[in-house]
Parts: sequence; C-alpha cells; structure tokens
Amino acid sequence: MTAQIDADRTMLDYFVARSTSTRPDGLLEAALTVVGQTRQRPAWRTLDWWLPSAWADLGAWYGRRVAIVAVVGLLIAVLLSLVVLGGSGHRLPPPFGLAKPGAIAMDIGGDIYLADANGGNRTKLFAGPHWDGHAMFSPDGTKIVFESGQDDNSTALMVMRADGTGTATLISRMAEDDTVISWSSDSRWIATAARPMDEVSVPSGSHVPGVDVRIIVGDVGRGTASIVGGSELFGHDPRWSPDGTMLAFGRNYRCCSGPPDSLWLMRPDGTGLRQLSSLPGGGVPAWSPDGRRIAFLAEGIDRDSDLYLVDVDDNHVQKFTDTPLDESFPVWSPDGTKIAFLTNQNPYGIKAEMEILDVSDGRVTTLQGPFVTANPPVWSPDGSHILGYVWGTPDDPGSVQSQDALAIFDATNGSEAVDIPIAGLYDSSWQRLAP
Amino acid sequence: MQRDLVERAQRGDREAFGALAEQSIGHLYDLAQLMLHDSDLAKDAVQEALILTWRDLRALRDPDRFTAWMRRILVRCVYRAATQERRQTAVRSLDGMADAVLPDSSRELEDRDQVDRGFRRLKPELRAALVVHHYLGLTYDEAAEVLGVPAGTVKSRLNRATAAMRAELDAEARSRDRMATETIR
Repeated sequence: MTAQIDADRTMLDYFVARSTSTRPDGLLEAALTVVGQTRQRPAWRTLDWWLPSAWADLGAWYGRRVAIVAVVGLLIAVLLSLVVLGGSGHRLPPPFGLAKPGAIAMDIGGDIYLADANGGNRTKLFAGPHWDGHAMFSPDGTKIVFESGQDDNSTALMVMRADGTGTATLISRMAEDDTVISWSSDSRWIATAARPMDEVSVPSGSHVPGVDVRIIVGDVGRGTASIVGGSELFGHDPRWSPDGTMLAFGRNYRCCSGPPDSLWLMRPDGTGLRQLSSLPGGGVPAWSPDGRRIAFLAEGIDRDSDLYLVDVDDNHVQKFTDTPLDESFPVWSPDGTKIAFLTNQNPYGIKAEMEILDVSDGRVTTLQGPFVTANPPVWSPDGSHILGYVWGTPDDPGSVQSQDALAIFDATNGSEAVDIPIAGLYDSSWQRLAP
Repeated sequence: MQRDLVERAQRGDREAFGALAEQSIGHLYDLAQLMLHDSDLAKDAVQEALILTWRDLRALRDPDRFTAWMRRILVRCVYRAATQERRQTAVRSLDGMADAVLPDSSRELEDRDQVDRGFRRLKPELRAALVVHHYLGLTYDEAAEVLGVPAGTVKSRLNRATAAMRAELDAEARSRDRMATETIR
C-alpha cells in the first residue's frame, strides 16, 4: 500500500511540476478563426446523439477490437483451410497425364468397396439390396459412379462421393447397360449406353439383345440425364473426347439387314454424326490423352476382333494386331505412350493375356502373370501397374461364379504379376490424386 | 454560468463558444502537453479539439457534462496527434515544458528526469490514463468516460504504465549504484 501511495505521489508531483497554466500565444485566436469558418453539424449526424456519449466511444473501442478479431480469425481460417485441403489430398489432379495413385474402388460380391493402392484395407462403401458394380472414379478423384440393381430387375446409375457419402440416383430403369461408364474430363458429365426399360417402341418379341441400346448422357452436377441422338440412333460404348466436345461410340442398327456396326463420332447432344471407320464391328473406343487418335476394336479378316488406331482428323486407320484371337478392351496409359489390352485365349472371355502395345513402334509385349478375364484393364494413375481379374478355374467356366483374385501387373520392368486373393471380385477403378 | 454558455453555443452563438473556449483552453493545453510531451503537437491537438467541440456541440444532450465531453474529444485528438508524431521522421524538440518547471532541489530534479524518461517511452494511451487518473484525480469510471474505454481497461492501462515506469526507475537505480561502486573502487 505504501509503495502504491509513493507511486501515486511521484506521478502527481511529476505532473504538477510539468503542468502549465499559461496558454500559448495565439492558440485561442487561431482556433476561433477556424471555428468561425466551421458550421455546426446537425445533432443527428453524430454518434453521440444516438448513443450515450460513453457508449459511442465504447462502441468504437469494441468495434475496432471485434474487427481486428474478425480479420485475424478470417486469416486463421483461410490458412487452416489451405493446410487442411493441401494436406488431405483435396487438391485436384489433372484429368490426363500421370497422377498419384489413390484408393481402388472394387466390385466385390455385388457391393462397392474401397481398398488401398495394394488392394488391402478394404471397406464397404455401398451395399444396395441387389447387385452393385461397375464403379468408376471421376477423373478428379472426388466422385464414383456405379450401377445398382433395383427391385424391378432394372439397373440404376448412381453417383456418390469418394468417401461413400452423398449417394444420388442419376439414371433409373435401365437394362442391358454398358460395363464401362465414361466420365468427361471435367468430372461433370457421364456417358453410357443402355436399353431404357420404359422405351415401348420395340414390339414384344422383336427385341434383339444388345442391338437396341441407346446412348445416354448424364449431368452429374444437376442429376439429370437424357438419351441423345434421336429415335433412330443406337450404339454402345460411348467415350468422351479429352476436350469434352465429342463422343466416340460403336454405332449399330436395329434391323439385322442394316449396315454392320462401326465406329462413329458425335457431339454430346447427338448432333454432328460422323463415321470414323467403316470397319465392321467397330467399337470399344479409347481416346488418346491428347485427343488426336482413338484405339478401337474391329473385325479382322478371320472375323476375330483386332486392335486398330484411327486419326481423328483424317480418319486414317492403322491396324496394330492381327492374331487369330480376339483382342479386347484397349486402355491408354496415363502418359499416352502405351495401350494395355487383352487377348482372349478361349471363347468364354475368362482366360486372357494382358498385353501392352508401345504406340511409338507398334511392339506388343505380353506381361508376366496369370490369365485374366476380359474385363477392362485398369492403369495405375502413375502408369506403373495394371490391374486384371483372375478366375479360379478359367478353363471350366461352369465351375466358378466370380473372380477369385486381383492381379497387379508390373508395366515397367516385366516382373511377375502379384496376385491378391479376393473372392467375388468383379472389376475396379483407380482413384487419381494430385501428384 | 457555464451551462448558459453551452446552451447558447449549441444554438450557434459563436461568442458564447468563444467564452467557453477561453475558459477551457489553458486546461486543455495543459492536459495535451502532459500527454504528448510536445508543445507543437499539443497546440495542434487543442485546436482540433476546439473545432470538433464546436462542430458537434449540438449532439451534447446534457450541458452540465460539457467539460467531460470536451476532454473526451481532446483525448481523441491527442491520440491522432501522437500518431502523426510517430509518422514524422524528424525529431521534434521537447521544448515548451522547461518554462513550466519549478525550481527544485537537484535531487528532485534528478528524480523527475527519471520519471520523465520513463513517461516518454509510454504509448499515448498509457500516458493519457496516467494523466487523467493521477493529475485530474478522476476515478476509474470517470477516466473510462474521458478515455472512451471500459473501466477495466483503464485499470489495466494504469497497471501497465506503472509497471513500465517502475522498471525504468529500477534500471536507473541499478545503473546509479553500479557507477557509485566503481567510483569507490
């Protein structure tokens, strides 16, 4: 207490000694001169009129602090968001080119699972009352589109986030749908082919399986979809061009007397139809990442399925395989230098070899590993591995009902593939992450 | 008497305001120079305070609170002047106060110089708190009204100012003791 009194007295003495009762010469006159030129403000224009005078200053005092706290809080929130988004892989990958491998979506036993990059740590993402499958990651890795069986034996096309949340139906009441669903490069649109169950134009009993299948384009953002190309257009395997302006697809005709299937192009709204190749049986297209060429399958001389490439600009076609066996499902590597495809060793489509075509020199290499089924191969986003699916007894199709293992082929040094036993595995899709 | 002048000034009577200004200007300048430690800045602050007082006088609801209200305006002008001071690169002379220093013993002058050095290092907000509380003798609540901050903030500013001053005095004392010891050796 004494110390406090001493301090108070010291300060008072100091101020008294420093104070002055004299005002500077001319100060009053100068101030009053300016006052004489200054108009008084109406009372309502000052804060003191609306608030008690003490409140007015306190309001400003608190206001400044609230503003400072708000700005600092905002900055912290922005920084935290950047850290969280950057650290959790939400930075989006480019739609083409090499990317970092993320999780693998798998169809196992009719349900959708998510596994890590080596096939382990599988967790169930979606399990409907019936069969669910053909899961396909969007190019930006944030969404998964998949097919889901319904009570009326139709199939619905559904979309969910990569973590399994936000499931929504995009297309319902489909039948005879494609096994591959094509995403546009901006991850906003999908294209698929299916026979709509409500389409009644086919007279009962005249339906030819696999022929009256329509091209369907869906807007994932809006949750809408529509058949494109008018009532006379039928086709299968639509694939988006990298720039999103065209769809390549295998066109077919309802009447058996029509021209054979062949490879066509059209705009996503169904206009601008253009035949790319007149080779019979043309279909299953795969765009090169630069959008200049399309790998596709068409019939060879001995009516087997061979692998071709066509230049989009001038329709120049080049044949790359000429074996007596059926080739199937060409898929470009992320860097656009190679094409993985399958060569079927038996007519059941469950015993195939995994092959790689080097586009620059046309050389085909058979990868070391087990026979796989004729399901589309899946490149890892970094281009180092390819996924295939193994039947337990491929020479006896009646003995098994599903694939038994995931085969991870090494696409870089030709070493033996690694088998991971997964009973009931059907196919998969590999998530792209920002490199 | 003052109330009558204030009411007339609120109705636009410049002569009445001149009388109020003449009554107040010495006190305002005294406060300003104590807070700012600079006669030129103090003059600027007082002149601005008088002009703002005239301009906004119609908003004063209670004429009896004129003095406290004008002090509050002055404190805001002092803060603004202090900001200008920090922005100026030229060193102003700390004059004007020397004339007011009363004759003292040499010891008292020495003590006052120490306080003076500590006081000058304080931020304007802390100086203002010390002046209104110790020199004007205002309570925390009254000081809060003049300074435009909550009473709790007045207390914390006084504590911080006092601690800073005490630290300055202690440092000076240690330095003096060290010099004395060296002289003895």
